[in-house]
Amino acid sequence: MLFTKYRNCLVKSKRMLAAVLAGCLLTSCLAGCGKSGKDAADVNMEMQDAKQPTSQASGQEPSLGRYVETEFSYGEGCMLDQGKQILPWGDGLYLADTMGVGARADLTAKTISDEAEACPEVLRKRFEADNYLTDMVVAENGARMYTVFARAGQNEWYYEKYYLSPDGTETPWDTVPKEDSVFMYYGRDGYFYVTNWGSETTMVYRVNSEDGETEFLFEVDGKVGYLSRGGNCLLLDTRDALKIYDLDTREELEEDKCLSDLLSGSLGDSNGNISYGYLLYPGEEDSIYVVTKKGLYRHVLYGSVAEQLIDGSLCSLSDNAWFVDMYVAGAAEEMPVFYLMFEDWRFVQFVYDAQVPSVPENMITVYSLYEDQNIQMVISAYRVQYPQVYVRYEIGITGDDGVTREDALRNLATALAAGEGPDVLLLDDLPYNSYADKGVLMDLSALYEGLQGEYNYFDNIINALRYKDALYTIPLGFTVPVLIGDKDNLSGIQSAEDMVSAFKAAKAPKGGTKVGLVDAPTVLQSLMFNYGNCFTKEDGSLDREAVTKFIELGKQVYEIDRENLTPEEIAERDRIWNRWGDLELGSTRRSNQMYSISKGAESAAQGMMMYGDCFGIGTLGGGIKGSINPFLATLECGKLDYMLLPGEGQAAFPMTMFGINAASKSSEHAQEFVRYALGDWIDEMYWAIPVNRDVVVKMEENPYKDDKGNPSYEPYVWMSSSIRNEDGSAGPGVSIEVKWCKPEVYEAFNNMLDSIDTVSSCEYMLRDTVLEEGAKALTGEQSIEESVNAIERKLQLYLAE
Amino acid sequence: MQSRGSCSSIWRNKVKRRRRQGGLWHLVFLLPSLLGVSLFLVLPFGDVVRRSFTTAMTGEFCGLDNYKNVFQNQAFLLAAQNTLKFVGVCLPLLLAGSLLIALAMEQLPFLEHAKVCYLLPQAMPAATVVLVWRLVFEKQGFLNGIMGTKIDFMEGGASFGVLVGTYLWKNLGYTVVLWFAALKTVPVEVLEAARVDGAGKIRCFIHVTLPSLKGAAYTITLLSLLNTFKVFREAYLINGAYPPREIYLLQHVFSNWYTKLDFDKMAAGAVLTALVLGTGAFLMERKLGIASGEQKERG
Repeated sequence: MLFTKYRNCLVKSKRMLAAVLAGCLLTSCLAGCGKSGKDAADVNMEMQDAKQPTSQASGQEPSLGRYVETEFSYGEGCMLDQGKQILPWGDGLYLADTMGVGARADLTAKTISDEAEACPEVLRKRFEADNYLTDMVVAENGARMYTVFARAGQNEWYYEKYYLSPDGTETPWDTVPKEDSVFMYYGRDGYFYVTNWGSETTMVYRVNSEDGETEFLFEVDGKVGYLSRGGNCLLLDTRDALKIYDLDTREELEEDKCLSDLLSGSLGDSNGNISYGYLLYPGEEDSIYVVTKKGLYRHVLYGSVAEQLIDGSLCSLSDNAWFVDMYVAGAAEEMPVFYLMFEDWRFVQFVYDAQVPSVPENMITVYSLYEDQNIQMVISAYRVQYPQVYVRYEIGITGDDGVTREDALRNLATALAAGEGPDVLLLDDLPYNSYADKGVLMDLSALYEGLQGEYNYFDNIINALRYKDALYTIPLGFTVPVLIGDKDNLSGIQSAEDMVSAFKAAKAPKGGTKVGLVDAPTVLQSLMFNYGNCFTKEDGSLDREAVTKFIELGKQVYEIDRENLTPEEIAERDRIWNRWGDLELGSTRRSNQMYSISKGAESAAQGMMMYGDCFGIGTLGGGIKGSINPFLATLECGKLDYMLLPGEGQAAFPMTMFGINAASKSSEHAQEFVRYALGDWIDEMYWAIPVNRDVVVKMEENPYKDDKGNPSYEPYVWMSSSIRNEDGSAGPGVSIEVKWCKPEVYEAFNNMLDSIDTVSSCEYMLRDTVLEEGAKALTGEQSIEESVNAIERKLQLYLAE
Repeated sequence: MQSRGSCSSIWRNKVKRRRRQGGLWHLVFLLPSLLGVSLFLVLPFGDVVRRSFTTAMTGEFCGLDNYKNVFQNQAFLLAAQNTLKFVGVCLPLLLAGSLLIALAMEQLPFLEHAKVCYLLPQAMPAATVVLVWRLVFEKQGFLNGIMGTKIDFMEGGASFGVLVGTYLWKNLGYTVVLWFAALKTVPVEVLEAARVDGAGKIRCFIHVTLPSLKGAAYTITLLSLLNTFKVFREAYLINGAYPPREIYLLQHVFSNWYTKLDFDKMAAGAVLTALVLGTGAFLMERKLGIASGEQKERG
């Protein structure tokens, strides 16, 4: 009996234990049913998202207080040469540039005006003597340190460093050898800090701004690219680490882990020692302010936290512009006011406003497959105009995390399928017609009609993007492939066949080519704009005939182009183009794959002038002042003409193509964003001509006036490009006086833009496969038929799906 | 045998009594797995079935259009054909090869100690395997170096052979271990009785060992079948989303459809694949599973 009781008890307890274990198992199973794991940024986003609906739903006031930004405007004719420093000056701020000619920022009117009297007499004399000041730092007491690059004789130049005392006495600073370059920084503690790098170490000096007395501080391993003072320490960026030295003991201190973490990925991020990817600014006592693209932080040296004062994603800090300098104003007990100078001359004030919501009440997400500089510019401008809307920019392939194109598209598909896709999609390099077919995109016809009431657009380009009687995408800008050559050579060209005949008939000088493209991929890439649309038939299968025709055309151009060159000359051209291409397109290489693989029209024209090439092919884009006018001026200088590249239609290549997610929960804000982007606020675009015709007309207005206020057609800038031979000797070069072009030149340019009748919309897989296999046919690695067969084989599955 | 039968009827009666006594306790124990299966398998698959009758993004009912599209889709048909071919080649090779090795292991006991080595390929990360495969099979790889040829084994018909080899290399050891465990369950007394009755090794294997392995064969075949789908990782890492036609498998087409937002076609394709796999598993169970059950009953 006792045994039975004991056994029952044991069984019961076993059951209980089993039930508890089963419950645990169930709970742990269900614990995984929450949202998928996200990174810290996403978690932050969720927290921000969570604040908004809760406060709205419950009728509670959202939490208040955030830094808001105001951009200062430049007065008439005021332009800084190359910003360097911000310093206090009376009740305003002094914006010093590297030439020592500064400007004054009026903190009340939020304007910047010329302040030529700030320039000391001794510097004026140097300017009059055509001396170049390559760098300068200024102290609050007016003392300066600067480097001078001046002519010593007919072909001799010297490079010297000077200290200028507060009373205007100039003394050569000869602590380091004359020819050595230095980096100068003002520590806002009455001292200049100067670094001089040797091959492996950097010497650091301190110069008293009052009397110019110099003392050697210490020698640092590695090359110091940027430095800042923080408390009684000097922080030195040696690219791989942020080294901290005690200014009293002059010894290296241990690493500040929190600060290093904050700056990880930003160290060594500088642009020619003038502008940087981050900034440090000495704060009260041992604290420092840190600005990165992610935000502005306050950190006490060797503390465990960095307090975020400004969220970079809510303001223009996250722009792609480099930082130049920062200034912090305000009493310690108040929320400080921050002033930031950017590389693109923007000067922005950040003031804490306790009345605005801490997180903007509305949010939209903008997505692009690759980083797009134009959209960053739009987002930045939009944030200033619409501070109540938070714009989050997502990039599918950043290049930093090993995400492939397939991964990025899969992630996007997941988000769209889950109904959490981005509100605004940049459709560059995305299959937008396929997305439209599946109902992902909203028809923008009504939005465009509304915009047409306000502005004029290049309708020929926008309408060419219509698909099945709807408009699913509107580009912000476009580029056009052009053929450059003598007026006589271009006059008879109507088609691609005419173009090839003209290439054949032309006589290239020794060392010059017929077209200047030289290598196989560049030839195909340049011609692709006008042919890419025809590679598939209406049923979606590959059009072998069209692909064969395209490769044949490419092969003809390729062979004609090289017939006058020796193998050595070809190798030299390859070397130069690879280097030039990298320099010119390096910044946009990731932004738009199709555009970034083509050659710019400006460099094509300059190449023609350097080598005497008969023709040039390149893509024309960018702002009028920065790109189009220099291009047109180069043509004028070289007595050259241009026309749209002939092919299957007169094609343009759309860029920064807006689409709106049909399932967007913030559709109104998304539409507002696109409407704003397509407005007339743009001054310059990166590598594209704005699709807003009013903007182009505005850009074409001559900003230069003569003494009587009439448009000036005198040179406003001198451009020179030269090639250095592999052995270091001077190679061919070209020097161009850039004048603003006459209205008739722009009229011809506008007529050319109006004659565009189609847009290039070749899909990624098609384009890359044709380029890869086609290039093999051009170089003779395989026959054209073999290339087409390989293309067909590779694309068969893609097209069949 | 008689006594074993009576034992099992006593056990069954005990279970029945327990159920009557314990009420729904057994359900409590089943609940976590039931819930898991329902939440992560049945419900999502139900959604997939629903989506197979609707358009991709707008979710409008479209009848059997998606199925029609899938049957007309050349890429899907090719992938299905390749997958069947792959399973048809790999499964017999794997099952027969691993069984032979397991039998050899039984005869040569020192091989048993190397069991860990057999499982090593399973532990190898796919990326490492792909790297090694590239070094071996590419145009400039070791294999071409040894043979003095310039064949790209990663392209064309040879790629199918490489994929089959990858599958076998990865799964052979694991399957050997499974067979080896199954061989241990073959009743020794029956084998001894057969030998006493004059049966040779081959006869013993065909008439005693093989019938005894039927139950395990069902499980091992099913696992091996499922593993054929896992080789996609290697195929994808070697050749990307669009491999040579010969190794374009169902997972490729599903993955690419997903990327292109063709959820409708993907759902229809998934339902069809599930139907084929389900039918195959059911038939196999009838053939092997029930047979082994009958064998037990007879036992």
